[in-house]
Amino acid sequence: MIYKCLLFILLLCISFCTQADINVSPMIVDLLGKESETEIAVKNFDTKTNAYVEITPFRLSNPADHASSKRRVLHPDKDGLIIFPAKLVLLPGQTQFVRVIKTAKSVAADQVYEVDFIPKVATHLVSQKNPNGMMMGIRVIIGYGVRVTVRPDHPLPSLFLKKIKNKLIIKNTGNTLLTITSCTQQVSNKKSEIPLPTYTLFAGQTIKKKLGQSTPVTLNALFMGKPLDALYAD
Amino acid sequence: MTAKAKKCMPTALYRNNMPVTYFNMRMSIVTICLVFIPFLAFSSYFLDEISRLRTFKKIKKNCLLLFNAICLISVNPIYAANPSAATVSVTVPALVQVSGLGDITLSPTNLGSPATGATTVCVYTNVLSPLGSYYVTATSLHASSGLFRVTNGTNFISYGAFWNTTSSSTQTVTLTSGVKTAQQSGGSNTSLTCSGSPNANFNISFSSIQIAGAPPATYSDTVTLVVSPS
Repeated sequence: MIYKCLLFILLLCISFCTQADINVSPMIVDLLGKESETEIAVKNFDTKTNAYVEITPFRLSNPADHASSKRRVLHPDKDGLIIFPAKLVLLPGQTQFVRVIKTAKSVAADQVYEVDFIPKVATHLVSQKNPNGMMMGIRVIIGYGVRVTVRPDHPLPSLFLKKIKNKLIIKNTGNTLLTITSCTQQVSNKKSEIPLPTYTLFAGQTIKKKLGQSTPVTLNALFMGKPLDALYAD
Repeated sequence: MTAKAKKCMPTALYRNNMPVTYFNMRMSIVTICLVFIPFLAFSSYFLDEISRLRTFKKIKKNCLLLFNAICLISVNPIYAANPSAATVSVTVPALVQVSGLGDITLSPTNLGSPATGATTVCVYTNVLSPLGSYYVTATSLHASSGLFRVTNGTNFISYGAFWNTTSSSTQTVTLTSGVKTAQQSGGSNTSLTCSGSPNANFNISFSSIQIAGAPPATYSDTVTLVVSPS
């Protein structure tokens, strides 16, 4: 019993010593224009230990489908994006910057990437030589996935809104992603918000929502932080 | 019952068919060429004559500052109308921060019931639509076909992993290794530390069947939780 308690205390100590506490900013990056690039700041919040961070860019072939696979960006020329550097060593409290550069020559529609920032820590949480019974240790690491969107050369934001009886259809008919800020319905002289399954609408993506009422719907959306004209469906 | 498809264009600011920023820049150049340069040349010559006396050097400096301020106020109607007016713009980037997470250790003793463990989390996010939303992708180091697994080097035990958008360890969202969840809500949008109250929970569960079939040993796994805005 005493042995188990001591082991538990030891495990707690180890876990506190090896956790990496980083932060990444900004989490959403838009690259627009021919020669566009930006920087992402990575900060080590730990005041005692270094943070070792690995940066991996992925191309999302179908960003609207979360279950779809993501492909690692290996060839900057072919994949349209370069991230530099691929690894960071951050001293306690230090902030460093990662450069994101668009290498795609011409872009007809959005190219969406996820750049993962994963701190590298010791993976062995518990000793492998515990002779007494069964023991399990799960090390939990927090990483950040930054969304990088390479916008088209000529972005054409366009939304389609349709209501068939109690069914609402919202489709992004443009070539660039839009952010829905509100989708409201007039119910008994009051505007009530319709909860949508997603509010980031990628190019070509469609949302279908069953409505409780068959009253008019108003939709508001943003394109790169700028409001679009509101859409109405009677 | 249907609405027409409408093409939406962003609202942009224009003045005399020119973007406002370009217009302002051109006006600034004209102002500098026509007013500032001749005025500064004249004032500099005039004050140089005075400053021959060393005692007038401080006066020269102060006079120049005063003349420049008068010039600025007279040229720019905004300053003339309200001298305290200033344009301050702040860009707040999209932020997501996760803190307060710990590792999970278990010592199952009773094979009659599942062995569970949990850690509470604070998720801060200012990502819009809706505010406080985020996505989680959990990946097990020893995963197989989306299953979370621990290993002692030779044997593997699969386990269930769950996410909850409250601090409770209820098994709300079942996680599949390497697959992003649906949009989660409930992240704090006011405090980076959630004011000390966790707002999410990551928990795991080993069923008695999963444990019973494995030899006694020490098993471990590393789960990477990638939090993203979309």
